[in-house]
Amino acid sequence: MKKLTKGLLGAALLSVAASASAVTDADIDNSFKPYTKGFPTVEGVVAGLVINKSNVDTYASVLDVDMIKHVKDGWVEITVGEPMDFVLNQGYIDATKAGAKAVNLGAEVGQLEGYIAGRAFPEEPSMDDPRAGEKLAWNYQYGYNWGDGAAISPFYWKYRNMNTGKIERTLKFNFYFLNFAHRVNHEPLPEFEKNPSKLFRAIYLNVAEPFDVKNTQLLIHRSQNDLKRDNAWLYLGFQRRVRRLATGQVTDSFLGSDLMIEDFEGYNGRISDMNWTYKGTRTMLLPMYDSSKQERTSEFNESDGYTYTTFHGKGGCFPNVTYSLRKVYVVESDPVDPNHPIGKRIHYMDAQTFTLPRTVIYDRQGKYWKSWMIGQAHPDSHLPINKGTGVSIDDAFGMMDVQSLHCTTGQFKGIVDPNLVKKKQFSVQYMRSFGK
Amino acid sequence: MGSATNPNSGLNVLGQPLHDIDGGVAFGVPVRPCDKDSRGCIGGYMDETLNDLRYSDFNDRWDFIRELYVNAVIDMDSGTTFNLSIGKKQEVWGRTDLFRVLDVLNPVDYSRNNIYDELEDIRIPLWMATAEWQFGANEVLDDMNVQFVWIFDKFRPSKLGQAGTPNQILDVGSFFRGMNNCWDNGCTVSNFAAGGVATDFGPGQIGIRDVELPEWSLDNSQLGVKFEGVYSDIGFSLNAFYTRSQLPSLRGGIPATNGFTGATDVWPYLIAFDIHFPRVVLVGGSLDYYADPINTAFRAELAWTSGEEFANTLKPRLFSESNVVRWVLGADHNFFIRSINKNKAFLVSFQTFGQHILDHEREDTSPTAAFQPGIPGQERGMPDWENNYISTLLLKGWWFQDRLSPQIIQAYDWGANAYVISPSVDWLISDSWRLQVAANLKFGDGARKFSDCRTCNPWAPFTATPLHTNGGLDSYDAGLGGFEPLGRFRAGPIGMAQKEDEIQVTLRYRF
Repeated sequence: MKKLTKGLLGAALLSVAASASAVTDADIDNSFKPYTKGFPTVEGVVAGLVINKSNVDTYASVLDVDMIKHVKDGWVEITVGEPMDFVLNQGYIDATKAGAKAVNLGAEVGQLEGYIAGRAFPEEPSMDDPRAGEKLAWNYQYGYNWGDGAAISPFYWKYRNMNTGKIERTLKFNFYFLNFAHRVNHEPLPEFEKNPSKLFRAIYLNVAEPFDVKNTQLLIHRSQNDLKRDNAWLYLGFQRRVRRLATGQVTDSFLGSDLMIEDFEGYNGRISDMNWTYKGTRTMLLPMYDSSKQERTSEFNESDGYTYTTFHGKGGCFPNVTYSLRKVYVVESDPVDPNHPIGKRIHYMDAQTFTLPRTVIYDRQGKYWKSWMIGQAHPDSHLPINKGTGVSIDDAFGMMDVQSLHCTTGQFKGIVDPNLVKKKQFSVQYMRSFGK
Repeated sequence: MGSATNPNSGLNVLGQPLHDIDGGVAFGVPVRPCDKDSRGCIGGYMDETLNDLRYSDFNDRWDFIRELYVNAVIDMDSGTTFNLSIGKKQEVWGRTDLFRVLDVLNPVDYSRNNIYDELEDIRIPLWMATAEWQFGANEVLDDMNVQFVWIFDKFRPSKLGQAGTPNQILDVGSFFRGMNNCWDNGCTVSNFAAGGVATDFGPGQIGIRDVELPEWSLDNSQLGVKFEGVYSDIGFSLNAFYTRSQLPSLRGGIPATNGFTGATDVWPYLIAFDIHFPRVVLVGGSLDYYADPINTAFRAELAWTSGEEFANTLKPRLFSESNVVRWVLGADHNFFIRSINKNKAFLVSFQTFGQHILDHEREDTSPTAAFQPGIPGQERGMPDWENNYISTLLLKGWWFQDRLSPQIIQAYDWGANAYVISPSVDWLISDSWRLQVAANLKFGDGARKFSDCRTCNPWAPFTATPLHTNGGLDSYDAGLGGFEPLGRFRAGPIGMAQKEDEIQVTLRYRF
């Protein structure tokens, strides 16, 4: 029996290796430019269409079941916008062409072999591939989210009561992202020379307002070895101390919001923390848009005139943006840890950018728990500095806890500028220095 | 017994709120502010007027400025960062809560709310300069930096609270003031002569004569250095601090008047002291580590200090120096109780603080056990425990977007058998208003006894007991004791506040 298992495993590995080596330039072109021959079409779903409770059944095929329910309940109306081509940065595409053929999955979930940079698995996923979901997860993990480095500064979060629409708190953050390895665009490539713990990526954030949480800072170090646990530290301004975070806090309400740290960017964790299942490819409406054509607000009085996304719908919890038809990979992730607070997530993964504009979260009893929307602005429609960066810009989010009828919304000023992101910011000592 | 210059009015009996005299020593303690009653006020140390006590931060050291400094950050061509700051600051070392093993750069104001306030609120800001070189990552460490701290402020001890005020750690303010009054004006001490007779002492015979607060000079400034880094999954620091003890040391061996002969001399074992703040060198380190299999973050601090002084009735000057090792080990674990709170984990944090006095001295005074025979079954030497531990357990939860946070802190002093439980609720009413309601309730043995040096025979042979050797000419501690004054070191800060259960309501407005 043991021999048979080993034999099957060996065959599976061979199969994986064979599929990886079979990647062609055509696969890569198709992965990054799926709309060369035109955007997907669904009858009646055209720019200007407003989907509301009176017509939502007609367009049910392009929405997920929980969003359909929200529309039926009158929580939100969805306006369809013009489709846009979100071609990622050429450096990332080139890195994919240079390296994808050498990439293989390892024997265990979370193991990746031969990866240097770019999209790990650009070939079309197959329902016949039992590890297709895992490959798509890797494409997200090593996606071009915020490029090699970027800042969201500032980043406003509002805590809202969905029943009353009352804004309970407004927090002002600054977020910073930096890839330590698998870099494709800005020197050093592909990795920082001094990277003794072989980090892949780091996220650093600090709170600017309000006063009671001012100077709270979070630092996350993610290793290139996915089987290694993230290191995370929290600096509490009132204590002036850096505290190492326990894993429980990563799946905990972050600063009282409806997000856990693990929710950042759609999913902020290890591949090996989840079981990944590819559920199919669909044409769906996702909140991906031309930001210059949206209703924006100048409520935060940015000196450069930058305006932020507005919100509408039930409790003001839905980003007030247009949705466009996209090729979508549906991927389900369920936690390996039986004590994890969630039962599963269903990710509606944009096939061109591998961002996660839409995720639905279920609790451990299988009940619908949270609705997660991250509006993606085309970089060429955003800040001047973002034009031509090939980064799908996270522009607005709404995270609704539909069980407690509470939500957190986010308004981004995402800036893809490596000069704003310094390696020193991603150290524990920087937190101490900043917090003084 | 009162006199014209030292009347009984305005006096409390030392230790009266906590314990009966029970055959021990006691004397009167002036309790009014020093502008109303100057008796026992130690100039420059414990001499606060009514207004000083009312507005404690508005003093001549400008403590109302919690922080004011300039900071320069220079990014070097090498990719490192140099950070220089000068001003009135709080500088925090270490990784643990509640206990000050490495977090010792700033003294602490215990007069505000004993040990129950956040350190952030009770650290006394000091004028200092810090220079920090952040090297970042190298081939071995993920992060590395070196910090130098120069505290050029005039030395300031921790504020322990003044007699007559509600918050005095170890009730030491009352003890000091009563003793200073004894020195200045004379006093009556209960159960003293022959171990049971109230005895009158004249001025300059026993008590606290003066405080030696270091003047400002370059030599009296304090220097610290810290090397900190991250190696793999471990954050660590190595620390060194050349400083002074922030807690007072009572040094005997001062000239005093013999109550029998009238001669002025230095008398061994006489309870006549000056207060000193000795030079101390601290070397230590800290680390933190997250243990994934048990989902628990660990924090540890360790410090070795030399130069600290402890009360010691085995020594003619009634104190001795000892090296001390202190450590804290803490563990943080988050866990969910879904039925109570679906979204937010509870925090349970356990810490244990340990102190080991390396040159500890204590001995049995029983004639059968001691070279210098004393009272059977008694002890003399250092009242502090050679090894002692204090454990704390924090349980904290959050509701309503973290705006409502109840918690329970418990602490247990193993040596003193003293326990405190402190439930509190923190309610963030708005971004500006915050309400905190807290209580602390103490249980345990309360006051503890130790030798009080009544039977030290300083003025031999007049003060000898029948047990003293050499015909009563030898001076040493024969061991008779009571609650005061040295039992406080065995009862500890929780035990000494045994009868001070509290309810605190704090309303803060931030702008």
